[in-house]
Amino acid sequence: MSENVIRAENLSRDYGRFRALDNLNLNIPRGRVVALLGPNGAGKTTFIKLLMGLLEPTEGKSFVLDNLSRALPGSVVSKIGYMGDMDEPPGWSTIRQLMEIQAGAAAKFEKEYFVQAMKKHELNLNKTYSSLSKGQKKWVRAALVLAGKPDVLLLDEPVEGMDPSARKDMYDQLRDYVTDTDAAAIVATHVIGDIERVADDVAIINHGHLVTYADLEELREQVREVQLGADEDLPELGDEIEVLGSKTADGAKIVWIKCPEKAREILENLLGEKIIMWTVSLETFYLAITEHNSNNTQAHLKEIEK
Amino acid sequence: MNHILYGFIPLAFIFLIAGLISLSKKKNRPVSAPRTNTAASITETIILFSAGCIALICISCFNNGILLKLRELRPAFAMTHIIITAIAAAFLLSAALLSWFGRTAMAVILMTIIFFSYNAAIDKAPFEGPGYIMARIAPKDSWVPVVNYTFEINNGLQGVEVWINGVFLGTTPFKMTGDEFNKKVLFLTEPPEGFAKAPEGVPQENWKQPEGNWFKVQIVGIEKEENISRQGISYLSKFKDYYAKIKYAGEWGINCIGTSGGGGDFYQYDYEVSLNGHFSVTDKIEQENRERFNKLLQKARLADYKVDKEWLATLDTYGERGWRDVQKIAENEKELSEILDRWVKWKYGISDDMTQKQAGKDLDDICHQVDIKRDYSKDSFEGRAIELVYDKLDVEYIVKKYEKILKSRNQRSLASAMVLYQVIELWDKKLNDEEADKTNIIEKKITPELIKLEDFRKAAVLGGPEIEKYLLRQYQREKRIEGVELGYRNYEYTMGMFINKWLYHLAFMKSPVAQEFQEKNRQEIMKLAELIINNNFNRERNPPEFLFYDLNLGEKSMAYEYWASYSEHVESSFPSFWWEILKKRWDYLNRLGSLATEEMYVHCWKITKRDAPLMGGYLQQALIVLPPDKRKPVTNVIVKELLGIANKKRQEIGLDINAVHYFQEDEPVDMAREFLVKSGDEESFQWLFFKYGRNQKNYLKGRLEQNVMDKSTPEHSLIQILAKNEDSELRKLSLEAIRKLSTAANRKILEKLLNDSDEQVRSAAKQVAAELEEIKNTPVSELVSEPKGN
Amino acid sequence: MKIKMSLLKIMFRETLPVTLITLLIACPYALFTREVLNWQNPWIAIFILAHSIAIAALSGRYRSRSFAFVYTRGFTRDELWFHKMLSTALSILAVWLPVSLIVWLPVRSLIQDKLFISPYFPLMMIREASVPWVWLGGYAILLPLFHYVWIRRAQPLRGENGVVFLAVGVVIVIATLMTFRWHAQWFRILIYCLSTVMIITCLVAGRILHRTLEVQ
Repeated sequence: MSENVIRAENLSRDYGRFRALDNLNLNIPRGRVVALLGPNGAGKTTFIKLLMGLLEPTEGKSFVLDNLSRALPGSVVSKIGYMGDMDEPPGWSTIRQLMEIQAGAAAKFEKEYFVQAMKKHELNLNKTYSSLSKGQKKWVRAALVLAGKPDVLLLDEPVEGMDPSARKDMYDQLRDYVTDTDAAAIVATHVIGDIERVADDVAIINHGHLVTYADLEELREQVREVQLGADEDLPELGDEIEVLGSKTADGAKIVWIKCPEKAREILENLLGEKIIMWTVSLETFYLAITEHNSNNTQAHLKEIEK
Repeated sequence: MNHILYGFIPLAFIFLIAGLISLSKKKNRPVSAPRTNTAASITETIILFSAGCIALICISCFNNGILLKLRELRPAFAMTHIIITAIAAAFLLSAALLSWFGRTAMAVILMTIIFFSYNAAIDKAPFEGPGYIMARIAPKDSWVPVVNYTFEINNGLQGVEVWINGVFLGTTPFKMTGDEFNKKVLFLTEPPEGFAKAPEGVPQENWKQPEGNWFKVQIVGIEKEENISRQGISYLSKFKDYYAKIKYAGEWGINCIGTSGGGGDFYQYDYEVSLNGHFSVTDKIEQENRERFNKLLQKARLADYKVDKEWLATLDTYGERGWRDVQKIAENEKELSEILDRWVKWKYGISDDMTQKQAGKDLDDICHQVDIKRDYSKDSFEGRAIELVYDKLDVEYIVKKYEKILKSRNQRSLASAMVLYQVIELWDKKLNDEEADKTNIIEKKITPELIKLEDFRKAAVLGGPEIEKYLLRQYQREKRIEGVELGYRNYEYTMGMFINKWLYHLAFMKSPVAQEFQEKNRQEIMKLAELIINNNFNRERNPPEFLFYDLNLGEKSMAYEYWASYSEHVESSFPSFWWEILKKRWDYLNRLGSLATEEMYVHCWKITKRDAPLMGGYLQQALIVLPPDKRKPVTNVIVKELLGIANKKRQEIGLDINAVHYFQEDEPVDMAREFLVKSGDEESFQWLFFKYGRNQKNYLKGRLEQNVMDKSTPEHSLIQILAKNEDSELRKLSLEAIRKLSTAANRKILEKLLNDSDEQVRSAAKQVAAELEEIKNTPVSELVSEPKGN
Repeated sequence: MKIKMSLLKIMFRETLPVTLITLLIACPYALFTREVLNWQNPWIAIFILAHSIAIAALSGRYRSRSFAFVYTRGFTRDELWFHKMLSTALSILAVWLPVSLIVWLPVRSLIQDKLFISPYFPLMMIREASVPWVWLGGYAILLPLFHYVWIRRAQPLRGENGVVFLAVGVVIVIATLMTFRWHAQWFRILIYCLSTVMIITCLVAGRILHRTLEVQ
């Protein structure tokens, strides 16, 4: 694995008495697209803002390109492509003006790339930002980020409001860019289906805690959904197998478990044929994780485990 | 506080409310976030401290700048202020420290409390008594204003011992504080032993006290008074009766009087106690000085006013008093005016060929002199010097210099500013005389500056298109003639009246534009004049000068048209005696100049209701007002009328109208005749001589002696009349006048009298001639003024 | 520091509405007010105060979407602060310069003289000439202070309201100073020195704190 361009060490942030992000540790190397998932208010945006240096961490530190986020030098800050959820160019500004602004900030900004991107989406450079549709606005902002040729991309809900094909297009471009430039990208989103296609890693935050950070491929390999009868419990599984969550529906109990390749055989042997077990999608996994967390069922899971 | 601050108060509150609203804004900072950081701490502490310092100074300045005047306060009171200020400063520092630790809001609140408390604590004006806090923390009576007395005798006589209320205070010159004075001198409710009251009917201050007697003097001091102000006490200037004695060279002063006065600001009062008395030593010196001075002038007359530098240097030793005395005599002896000019020129080295630099130096000297004296008037020695030197100065230099003064706040109030204004005024007149149609440099540069300073009176005197335009435009905006409703910008408050400032100044201006305005607004100007004349504050009922500006219009002039109203108004509203009313009427006619006829003067006499006894002295007072060409005819008419009255009375009581005897009704007639005699009217003299010359010669001589001898400069024509009179006593009388006034013309009369037919007259004439010869031969070095004391 | 026109433009544009409004108020006032302008004119003082607050508020909307956009483009905080100050200066200049030219050229004097037949003009023109400088001095004191207030309030620090109290206090002190008709020379020099200290402190601290302000 190459160097970590994003690092978070015990990163926490409070708003008043509310802890939005709690003791988050995360390292992201180059060449990775990380899907940052989590329900509303989980702390995704706060995390991205902290990385960008827009907020002061209550505890811990974060680094981008080996520089403390809150003291990013000019040479580094211009290498970060940021597309926030809450920021928006002034409505009166034209696309050309936005291009000029970004060109003034990012040393490697390629105007030609931006102009071509705008042409591709049939956007006139003289159009004002406020006259664009929601999807067009996203395209403009994405193009501004990508034309800057950043080493790190911090994207918060970049495809919100876009139609499915546009979303696909956007993520494809992102994937290509990261692959081509060996950049690192964090994409915070709710639209799991699209990101799943292009992401390398997934990080799930819930209630400010990093619940999962894993290679998406590995995750697909290791996570299973197990269906039990309503009154059945899982047998003793050992240390290698982790219960991610469970739910009871339609007279059946569903448990999500994560196990390494080796442990899967043990599991099959343990449970036998009477138990139905199959692989899960990222969305299902995400739901399992977040619901599990949202119900605060750590204790419950221990019971299940028992 | 003025209106500006009133405008800011609501704004500040809005601002404050905005700040308070921001308190309720959603908290998005961690509760664990620090209150401040280094940069914020330093910044807010510096801002708070800087603003605090400015506020502290402001408070001190609002309170009469007491911190700058600590030396004027009593030490205990000054120390109290220093301690309070130190405490305030300490709190200020504490507030700044609070800010350092991130408690800026609390620091600001604390500072506000400090300032309010400090403002309440420090003293505003000691004469109003101490403030509530000061009364409780300052040592008792430390707030009483400081009084300093300077004792002076006869304008600077040194070595005089002064006793007040029986206590020896010191030898002049000396000073003492009010506390020392009060400690030494006990106040007496009853006059001390040896204080003699003036005889009945004689005012105490006019009474010549015998030597060694106490004399009363009112000495001003600061007295505590209980009232409702502040803490129930205040301090006021009050005069109290004390009894003094003064001694010089072992001799008690006689005929003493004393006064005191002075003033100060809120914290310190400097009073001067002036005691004046007579000591034989100083009186003798004074008498000798007076004789030397008269001889010096006689010497000038004997030299036909051709005096040299030595003579001028001798006159210079008489100083300001010499200037005033010569100036007074010169009113009737024009040649002395030339001598005064020569004196001034000699003193300042003024000559026709002097350079601008020399003239500039003279001006600087004069400015320096008047600034030391803090006094300047046009008719002073310096004033005349300015009149003589101004045209030697570079007008551009003067204009720049005066412009600078006008722009400077500090120099504007100096006496030298008055000097420069006079130079400017003289130059303006000169330039206008040379080129009346052209706007001169003064009108271009100085007038606008004066307008900016709202000194319209001076600006109007200098004139020029700027002030004309300014006043005319202002008048266009506001045409009401009077009333407080005009507002402070538009009214001129004069003699208790609020009158239109613009009309007022335009009425006084003399220029073609102003003249045109005055013609167009004739009714308004006459109305203004009427307001001024009828105003109760104008007790003298003096008509304003501008009423007489258009006399060239003859009978259509404002003053001529207003004459009848004025005459009537003076009679009904001027609260005085008949002769005063008559004088007012004649004064008005005098100002009408050639428009006033003899008949008008006589008419005034006839219509003036004489409701008080017709005494000759009062009649003479009125007759003096008559212009020289009207004196004789008008007086003759009056004499004729009065004589008719007297004769009628004689007839009524059965007396012979041709008999010469004392008759009371003749008194005003004689006085009227005497008035003409004083002017050298031979006809009147003959009339008097005919009446009294034979039977009542001593009476006549007495009258003439009183009129001729007491007058320092008797009319030459009267001396001539006396000198050729058939009566040798009267001829001798003329010699007395010649002795005093040895002009060339009078010396000719003396020559004739040296050969007079009468032995006694010849002898007296020889004596006068010898005296004059002696004066002529006296070296001027013997005629210098001697100082009165050591 | 290099001036980046695009950034300057966007920052200047942020305060443009208030610049236009104040221009629309200030120019007619300078042209048509009948009173002779002087440094103690309360209306001018109120105008400077309101204008400074408006500019500082518009330049300090650190929670607005457009600010979040600008602050995340890749500019350094110092660059952003420098351009903020520059745009503030331009906004002030855009109002102050026309007004000053109206006073100095002298358009005001001509209008007052010829149109209103004012007695004061053109005579008082010279006296008014110093008023724009005092006007500028007002901005020089208030704007660094108010910028500081807004920057301070966006810090990850508590006690952000204290600085509002402080600003209110300073404004009241300035207002009090304005009521003084007489100032001793030393007092004036002291005020100039303390004001300069305040201005420099606010600017330096503003720049330092701008690096750590939170954009939300």
